[in-house]
Amino acid sequence: MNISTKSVAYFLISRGFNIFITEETNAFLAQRHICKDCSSPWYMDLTECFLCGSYNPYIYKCNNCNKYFSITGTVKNCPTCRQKLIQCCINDSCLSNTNTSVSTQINTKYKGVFDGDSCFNIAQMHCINCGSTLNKYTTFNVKVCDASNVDEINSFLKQNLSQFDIIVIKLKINSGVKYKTLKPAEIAGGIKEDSFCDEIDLLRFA
Amino acid sequence: MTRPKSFPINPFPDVKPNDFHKLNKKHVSEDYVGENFKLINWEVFAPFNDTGIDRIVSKYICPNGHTKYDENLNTHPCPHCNTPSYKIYRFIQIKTRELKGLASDTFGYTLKTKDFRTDPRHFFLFYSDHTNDFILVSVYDYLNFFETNRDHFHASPTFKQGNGKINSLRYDSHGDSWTFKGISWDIFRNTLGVEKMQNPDYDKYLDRYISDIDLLKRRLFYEFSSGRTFTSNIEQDINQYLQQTNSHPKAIFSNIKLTNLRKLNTLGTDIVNSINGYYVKFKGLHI
Repeated sequence: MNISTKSVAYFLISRGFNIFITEETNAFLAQRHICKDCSSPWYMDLTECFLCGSYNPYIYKCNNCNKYFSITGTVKNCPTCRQKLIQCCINDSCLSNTNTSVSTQINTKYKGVFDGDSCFNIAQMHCINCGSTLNKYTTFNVKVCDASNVDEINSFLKQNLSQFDIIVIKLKINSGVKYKTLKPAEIAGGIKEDSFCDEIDLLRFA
Repeated sequence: MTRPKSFPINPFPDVKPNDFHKLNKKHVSEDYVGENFKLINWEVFAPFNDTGIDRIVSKYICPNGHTKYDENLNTHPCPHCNTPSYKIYRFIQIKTRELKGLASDTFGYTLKTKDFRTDPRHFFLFYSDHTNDFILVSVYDYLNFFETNRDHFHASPTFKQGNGKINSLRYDSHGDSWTFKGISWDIFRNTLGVEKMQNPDYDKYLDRYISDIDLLKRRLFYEFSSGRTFTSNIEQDINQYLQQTNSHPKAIFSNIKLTNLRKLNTLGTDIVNSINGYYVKFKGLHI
C-alpha cells in the first residue's frame, strides 16, 4: 500500500473501520462489524452480564457499605470496612443482585460478575443503540486516486473500476487536499471540481 | 498409501510447517492459509490493523452453486448457466495446532463467546500442521452441530471453566479421518470445507441465517449448567431467569439500559469520568 492510500486507511481506522490489504498499492478492503438492524458498531471485546445483559460498568462495589468506587485506582478493598471490592452488575434487579445464593456463589468464586476470570460475563450480545441481538459484517473494496487536476481524475476513471465498491479521489490543490467519495455507478454523471469536500465520506455508504 | 493432495499444499517448501513452535507460528500459519487460498484463485486480504479476523477471502461465484472450489469467475457470467456472477466474502479466524495427546491425535483449541458472531460468513479454520489439513467450519455449522448433538456442547459458563480448552476434535491416523466426539467432521475438511465455504445461500439468504444463528446462540449460550464449580440449587433459578430475559431480548434490554444509565449518572463525577474513560473505545457508548 502506498503512503497516500495508507493515509486514507488510517483515516478510516480512526472512524471505526478495520482495514485488510492485498498486494495492490492503491486499494484495500474496509470492513466493519455492525448491528444488522441499526448499523451501530458491534464490539466483541465489550462484555455484558450473562444474566441480564447489562454492559460492564467498569466499577467496583463494596457490598457491605453499598458504595461504588472508580476502577481506575488500585484499591482492591473498601477503604471504610476493608471488605473485598467486587466488579458487580449495576442492574439492581439482576439475579446476581437479588438472589442471595447466586450472588454469594458468584462473589465467592470470583470477584463479581465482571471479574476477569468470571464466567458470568459474555461478549456483546445486544446492540448498544437498539438492543438487537443480530450482527453482521459490511465490506467496501476501496480504490484510491491521487490527482492534481480534473484531467488526471478523468483519465483515472476511464479504467475498469467495476470490481470496487467505493472510489476515494484525493484532489491536491493549493490550499490542501479535497476529497470525493463515490460508487463506480456515480462516475457516469461526470466529476466536477466544486463537488469535492473536506473529508472522506465512507460512512454514508455504511 | 498417502493420497496426493491438491489443497492445502505447503507453499513454503524450504521449511516444514511444524518446524515452528507455538510462539512463532502465528504469522507463518496465517500466511500459509492465505497463500493456499491464492493458489485456488481466491483473492486474499490480510489485516492491516488488529482485528479478530485473520484473513478475508473473496471471489466471484455463480449464485446457482456451479462454481468449483478452485474457480473464480472474475465478474464473468457462469459458463454453465450464464447467470451473472457475484462477489462473496468470507471472514476467517485461524486456529493452528500440533496434534497432541496419547496417540498424538487431539486438536486442542479454545473458542470464547467473543468468537461467535451472527454472520454466517464467519468461518473457523482449524489448521493441523502435522497432518496438513484445514477443517473449515462456519459459525452456523459449528453451532448447529452442537444444537443437533446437544449432549456434547460446552455450555456457556464452561467457556471459562478450567483452562477452557476443547479437546474433542480428533484425527484418526488409521482411518485418515477427523471426528468431533466420534462424529465425523470430514465434511468440513480441505476441498470439501472450501465447497461449504462458498455456499451461495449464506449470501442469498443472509438475513435468515443471521436470525437462525442468533437463535442457536441464545439457545446454547443461555443454558446454565452448574457443573462442578457451582452448587446445583442455583441452576434452576438461573435458567428460569434466563428464560424470562430471553423472551423479548430487545425490549427488556432497552429498559435495563435506561435504568442503568440513570443509576450510573448518580454515582459522582469521578466515577462517571472513569467509566467514560473505559467506554471511549466503544464509540456510541457513554454515560
